[in-house]
Amino acid sequence: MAITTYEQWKDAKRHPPLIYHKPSAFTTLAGVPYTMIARAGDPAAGTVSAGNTGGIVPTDATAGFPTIHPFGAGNTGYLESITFSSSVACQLVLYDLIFRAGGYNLTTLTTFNLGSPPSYLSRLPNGSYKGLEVFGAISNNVSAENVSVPISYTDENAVSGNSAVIAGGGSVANFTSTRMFPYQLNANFDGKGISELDSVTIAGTAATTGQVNIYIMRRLWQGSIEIPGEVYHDSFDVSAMPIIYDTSALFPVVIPNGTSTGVPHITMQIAEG
Amino acid sequence: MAIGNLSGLIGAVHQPPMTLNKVASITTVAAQPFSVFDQIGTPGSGSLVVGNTTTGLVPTDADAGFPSIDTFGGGNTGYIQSILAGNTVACRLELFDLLYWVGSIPLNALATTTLSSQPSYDARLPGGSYNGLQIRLMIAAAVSATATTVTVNYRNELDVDQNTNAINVNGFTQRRMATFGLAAGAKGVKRINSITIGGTVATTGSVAIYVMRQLWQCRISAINGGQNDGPATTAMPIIYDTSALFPVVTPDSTASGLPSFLINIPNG
Repeated sequence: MAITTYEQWKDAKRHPPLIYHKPSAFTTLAGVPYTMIARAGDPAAGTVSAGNTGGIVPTDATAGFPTIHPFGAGNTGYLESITFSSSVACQLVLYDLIFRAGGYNLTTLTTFNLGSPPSYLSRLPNGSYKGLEVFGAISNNVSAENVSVPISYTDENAVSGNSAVIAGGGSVANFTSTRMFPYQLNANFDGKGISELDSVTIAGTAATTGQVNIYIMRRLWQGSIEIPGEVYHDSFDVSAMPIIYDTSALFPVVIPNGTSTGVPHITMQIAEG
Repeated sequence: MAIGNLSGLIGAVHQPPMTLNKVASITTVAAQPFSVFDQIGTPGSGSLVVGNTTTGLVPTDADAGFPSIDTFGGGNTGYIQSILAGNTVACRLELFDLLYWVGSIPLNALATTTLSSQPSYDARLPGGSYNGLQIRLMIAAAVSATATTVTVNYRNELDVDQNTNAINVNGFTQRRMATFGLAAGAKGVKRINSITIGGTVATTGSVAIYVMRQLWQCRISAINGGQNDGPATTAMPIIYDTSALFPVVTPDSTASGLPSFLINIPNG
């Protein structure tokens, strides 16, 4: 089923609001995305490392992600509205983290072939791979060597052999743990989607220390905190009620204006029907 | 069909939220509009070079650089319901449906490029109206410090051929855009007829000409600021499942920043 009328929306089953609150800020670079998954709070801490170099599909049951109550049989779930704030000016972006692989040690130049990674197709509305985003996530501080992490992937048209590099083509030298960085999909293959991560290569100069993970994410919502401490609210007409699943791994990313993540607080209202 | 009431909106087919973001910034000129089309992000980069100077082309979402729009249901009408936008710099953000483009026209020769058999973009116009369409130039290759001008001859909404004003592109940097003024009394653009390069011949530079339908705009008033507009603000402009959604950034200062859009598109 699905929510298809005003009456159904009004009468939809609503879950107790999901809370995302990380009370312990940490130091960042301005304008750079970070994950706070490893911080204590609500939900409790998880890990930046995927803990599986062959890749896994994280769910709400995985440590660090808020628990979503199971939907009724045949029901469709939606992210209905979001209330959000932070102690610092920042951007908040909410994803469904549909796949992650790692951590890959950066201390040896090698290629990790994933073989047959698990499919995340069941977490994609309409089965569409288009518009998915690929990020790296640092799980151990990287030393100063000029090490890079190109990946290869299969695109939304099942064409394998695509390559992607860190946006801007740079290395991850001196990247600190919890820092994230976007990948640039291959424009020659239209760069519009990714259906599978095929391999991860540690290239350049081997690092003395460092570990990286690759995340594939579906963007659900974004908002800006222009005034620290201000509380903002996006109702169902603004969120447009993106479909989520009762297994979705809801994953906020913080992009602070300054040098602290601040203390974000996000309340997510989920409806099903 | 069309979305005619709140139930229609709630029950419409909703494409998963569409990401349109750029993860590399470019150098700009303060308060001037710029294309970020060739910058990396989601979707991947497109090309500043149209690759057609004889007829021009009608770009679609299938072309590199434009976000993919899911095919609408049979007979359905598509809309932009809401836009969640932000940028790392203070700026104005605009979103267009890029209906037509032609170029690159070199600026190192004073000449008129006359087009023929131009493809129609009628199918991308709600109500079939040409009114309100804009003609813009986009600098595909940086222009030398020469007083080179660009003028466009176009057919207006009443089938009258007219000239725009001449834009002096002296020293314009790559990706900079500028809007042509239509002739007095004109309200729309049906077709581009020709492009004339005049003034002082340039030593370097090329230009593309775009016809664009504006869908939305907002002000990002602070660094890392954003604006989330629901249907009461967007007014749910009609788009098509072939629309070539194209952002334009007019930064307050000398960097485009990293503009980011999450666009919600229902059809019903």
